[in-house]
Amino acid sequence: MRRLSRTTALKIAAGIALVSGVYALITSIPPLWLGAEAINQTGDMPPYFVFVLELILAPIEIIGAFGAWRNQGWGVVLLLLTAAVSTVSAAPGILFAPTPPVQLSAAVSVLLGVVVIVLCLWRDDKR
Amino acid sequence: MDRIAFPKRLRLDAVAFLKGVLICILTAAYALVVFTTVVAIVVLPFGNVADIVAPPDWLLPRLGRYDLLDAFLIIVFGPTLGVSLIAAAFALLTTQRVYRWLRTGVNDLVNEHQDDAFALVTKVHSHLASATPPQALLPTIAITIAQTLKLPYVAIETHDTDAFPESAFGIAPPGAVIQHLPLRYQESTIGELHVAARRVGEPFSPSDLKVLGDLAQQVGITLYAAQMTVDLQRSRTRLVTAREEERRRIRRDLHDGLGPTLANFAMRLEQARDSLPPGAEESAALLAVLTAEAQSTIHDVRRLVYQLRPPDLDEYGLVSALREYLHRVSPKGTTITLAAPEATPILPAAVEVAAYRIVQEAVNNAVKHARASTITVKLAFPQAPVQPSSLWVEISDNGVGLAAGHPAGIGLHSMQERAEELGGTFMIQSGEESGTLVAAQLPIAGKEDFDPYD
Repeated sequence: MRRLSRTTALKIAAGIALVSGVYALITSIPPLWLGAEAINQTGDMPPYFVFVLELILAPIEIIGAFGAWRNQGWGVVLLLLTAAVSTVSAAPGILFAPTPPVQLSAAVSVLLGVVVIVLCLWRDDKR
Repeated sequence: MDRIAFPKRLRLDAVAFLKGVLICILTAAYALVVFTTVVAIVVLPFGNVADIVAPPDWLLPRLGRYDLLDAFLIIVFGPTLGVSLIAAAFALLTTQRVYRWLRTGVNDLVNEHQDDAFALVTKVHSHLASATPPQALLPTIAITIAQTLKLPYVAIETHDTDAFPESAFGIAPPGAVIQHLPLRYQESTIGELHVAARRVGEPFSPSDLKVLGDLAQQVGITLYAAQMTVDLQRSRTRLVTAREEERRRIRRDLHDGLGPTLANFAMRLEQARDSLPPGAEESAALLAVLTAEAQSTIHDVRRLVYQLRPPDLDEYGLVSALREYLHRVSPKGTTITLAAPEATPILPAAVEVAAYRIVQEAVNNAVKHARASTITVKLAFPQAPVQPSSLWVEISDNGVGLAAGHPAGIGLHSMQERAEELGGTFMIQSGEESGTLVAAQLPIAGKEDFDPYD
């Protein structure tokens, strides 16, 4: 079977990061209007800091995706950092998320973060 | 040993620091995520997580400051001891392996060469192209490979140690793996490339070795070409030196052998004509013709002797010959001084002629074109008196210098050629207001091979 090339791996990572960044941007802005108190008291949403973090990380992730798509080192580093932070912030959600859908969403976030990291550090064997 | 300039070093240190930070963040993230995942896998099937993963009493007063930190404190200390141990064991067992993988990946990412060996070889080649003197080749190769591949130590060894002494860059970390790669051209090995791994316990990856192998091939070809250039220069120097030695010998033979013989012959002809009895007009006329022909031949031989080599060099030696020449050409209102050591070693004929002609040409230019009032000629032997390896010739004046972009004439080319054909160097510095400085370094090594007549 033909092994995935690094260029392709980076393009896939960039694609995943772009989709996840745009999704995070869209989904994190509306809840922020509710305010920290309301979000933390509803009980069926992730904590307020998760939305704030997503809002900060999403643009960086999109910029990183652009760089990684163009095979730029800085883009890959940005993707690695945002993936690491978002994975760490989503991991407790697997255990403590208030509802199964949110728990699943946290697990998916962790999985996507790990996939992005693996793809960003993918190596070509035939060099 | 060559050293990297400070700003470059600083930049490399900053890159190494950021690389370390990135590896630490990714490893910590992995450890936290894998611990959490194992706890989740063990705990989730057993019902309500809040009942199983509850913060212990001692932790409760410390919670409530940072949500994310609180969550991880509860995940680490909340589960029962068994669950914590399983998760910790799994995290510990796998983290080291993942750390290595992350470190290699991040290193490859920072060491951009990993993506394109061809681009790397091209980069090294472009650096090599700028290293004009063949002797500067090895240090340039070593520095380029070390900086491009971010290697701590690179050394290159060749078989021709006279022309290319071993060149090393950096210091190998103690205990680091050192890879030895042969430098080949066709079937012959012409040297060896030694490179140290980036750190202890991290041997070269297959891709590193592939890139280094490709590089060694290119370096081998380049080194071979450089060796050819050096050999060619050596041959050229030998030819020029042999030619000048031969001219000196022929001049000496003509001057000391044929010249006096012919002069003696002409004198005897005149004696013969004087001793003729009265009435032998025919014989007298014949002897007069022979005497004239002998005189003409003597003039031809003298002209030949002068053309072969400046006669003053053999009569007075280089320093005195130059002093004599400078005295002869010094015009009114111009001061020409010669600074030279009292005792000079015996020089190869080629070096003497080159130095004499360079001084002649430079002084002639200064007098005729620069209208200088002061001209200084210096001769020096670096490393004298132990073992002078070259003669340094310097001519400076205070006249009108060359304008910027002024094309070099035949005289300048000739001086440069005389220095370079002996394997020496030539330089000229000039400004319109600052006069002109002409300097040449003429190697005198190897004289003993070509000077059998002294």
